[in-house]
Amino acid sequence: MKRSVVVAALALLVVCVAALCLGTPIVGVNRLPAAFAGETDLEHAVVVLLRAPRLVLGLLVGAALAVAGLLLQESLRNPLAVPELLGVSSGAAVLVGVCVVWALPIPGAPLVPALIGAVVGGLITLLAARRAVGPAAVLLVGAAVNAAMQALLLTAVSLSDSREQGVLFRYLLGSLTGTTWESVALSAPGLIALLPLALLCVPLLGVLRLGDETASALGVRADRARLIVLVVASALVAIAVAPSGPIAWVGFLGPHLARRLRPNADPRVWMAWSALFGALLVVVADLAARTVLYPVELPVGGLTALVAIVLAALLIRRRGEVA
Amino acid sequence: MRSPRAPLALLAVLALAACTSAPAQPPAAQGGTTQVDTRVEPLSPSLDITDPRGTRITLPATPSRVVCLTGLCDDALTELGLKPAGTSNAALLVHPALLGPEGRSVPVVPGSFGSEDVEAIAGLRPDLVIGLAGVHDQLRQALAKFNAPLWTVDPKDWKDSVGYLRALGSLTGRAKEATDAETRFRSKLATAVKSSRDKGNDKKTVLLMYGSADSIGVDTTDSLVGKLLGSLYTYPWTAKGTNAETASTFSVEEILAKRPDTIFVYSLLFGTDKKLSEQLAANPVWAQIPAVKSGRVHEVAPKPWGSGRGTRSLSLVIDESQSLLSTTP
Repeated sequence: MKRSVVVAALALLVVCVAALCLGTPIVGVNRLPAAFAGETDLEHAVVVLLRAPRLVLGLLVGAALAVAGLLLQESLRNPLAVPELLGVSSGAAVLVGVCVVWALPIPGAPLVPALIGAVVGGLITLLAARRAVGPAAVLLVGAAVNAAMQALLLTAVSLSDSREQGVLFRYLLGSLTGTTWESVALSAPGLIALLPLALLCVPLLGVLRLGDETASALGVRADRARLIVLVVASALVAIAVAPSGPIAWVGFLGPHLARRLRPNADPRVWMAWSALFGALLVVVADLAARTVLYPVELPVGGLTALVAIVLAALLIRRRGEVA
Repeated sequence: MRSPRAPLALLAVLALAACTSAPAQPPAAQGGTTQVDTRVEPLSPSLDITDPRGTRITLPATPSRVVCLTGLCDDALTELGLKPAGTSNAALLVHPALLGPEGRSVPVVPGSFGSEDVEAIAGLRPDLVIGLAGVHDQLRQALAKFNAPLWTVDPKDWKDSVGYLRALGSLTGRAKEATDAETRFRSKLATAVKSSRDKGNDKKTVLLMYGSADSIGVDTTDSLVGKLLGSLYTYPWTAKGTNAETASTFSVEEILAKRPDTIFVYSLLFGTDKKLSEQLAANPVWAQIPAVKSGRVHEVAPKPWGSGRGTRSLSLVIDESQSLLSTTP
């Protein structure tokens, strides 16, 4: 256990330093203090104003999406439940799409409309899921809301021109481009407040894992407990996707890697490891996104999806071998 | 689960490789002007032409009702002294560089770009429809049912724009108008190139971008206007490893490093009462760039700069860019 923690801490440190140093220009580790002190204009701007806020937001968004994924998978007792099924990400995307296509004068765009869209999308799912019986029904409701949002989004995309589509696709695939300290300041407090709140959901997860009937026998209303967990997960996803767009598969990969590392651990341990894997995944993917085809940046979500497909295939193959 | 040693080691090597790097220096500007051939080949009317991309177009009669689904068509028809029978680019057509208010009388083709209403096009009784390759090819079958031949164009640089103008001039029997317009354009470009060199503007780094302060798209050197600006000024915005004519996500680090002297911007993606130049000036990252520091960020008309593609629009780009560069320090 201790060895894993040391390796994880080292990995996090190396990834963070690499995210600050690599790119164009490459800033040496020895020059980071000077860059933070503002001794050179260009290095200060690149490291402190461009890379550092991007790193901080990447860590928070990755952790939030992975924790939300764990909450969903455990509360719905389905390892394939992902934040994308809550209607939150697509709700954010719809409103951003509408703002881009019709150039709506919403202050703070795209962050504010994304947040409003995410909250509205999540609320629709939660309100519809109130009457759903059982985890499968909740998942179906989420999928239906998501499908409806996607249809609206495609309508907006079909009305946009090629340049608007480029910007829309960047957001839809998830990207940390253009992250500033202002966008971090808007998102970080909510995410930092919600992550401990997710920990408070762990006892509910424990009961929900036993099944709805057993939970009822223990005096817990499973539907209400599930709704509380969904609210926390939706809030996490809403604040995470508002500045970055829906970065795909982080909510799937983080929990799966955590469970693989500690198969018999407590959900609290899974939550911590999920957050770490999610954060690492997003930051490494973002580093690749801005360096592989430099100066053009790739969407982070495309890379996380690619990693997820490979890892998911490996996990399924390994599971098949074990079986 | 195994410890992730290999990726960790790789990342450590990458990070340590950067340890001894020197402070970053902005690269030297590179002038990039070229000679422009002002000779114009003679042109004669013909109903059988081959366009700059090698596509052969054969029509039974001189087209008199041309419907435009791409800006190049509106632009070229204007150069030839003709009006489209219908257009999906009304905002471009009514720009003063093209028809101005007179363009309002041209029927607008409803539908979105690439999914225009075929029935509405048929209702305009066109004898030729001109669209953009890769976007409008899907309309070909449907249009064929209404006996409306579709010609899809794909200009890569100003020479292609001239080539399409000549091809359309030949088809419509407006050969003289086409060669006159070509002569004007070649002379304008040649004069502009010489003027840029004489005034030292060819050493100035310019950037054409669209979007907002936190969502940057850049016309790269693969785009038609990017290539044109590259023949007049230093335009170092390549999309390495991709064929993207416009990069909707371009590295701000690269823009910081290349330090553009002048920025042309168009198409605000999110409605706001704040001009993009003001947004950039208020942004701590963009405020580091010489063009922003010295107020040389110029808002330009999105339609002719972004989707004109023809010699009329490109002439406007030449004139405006030269004028804006000469009026600022």
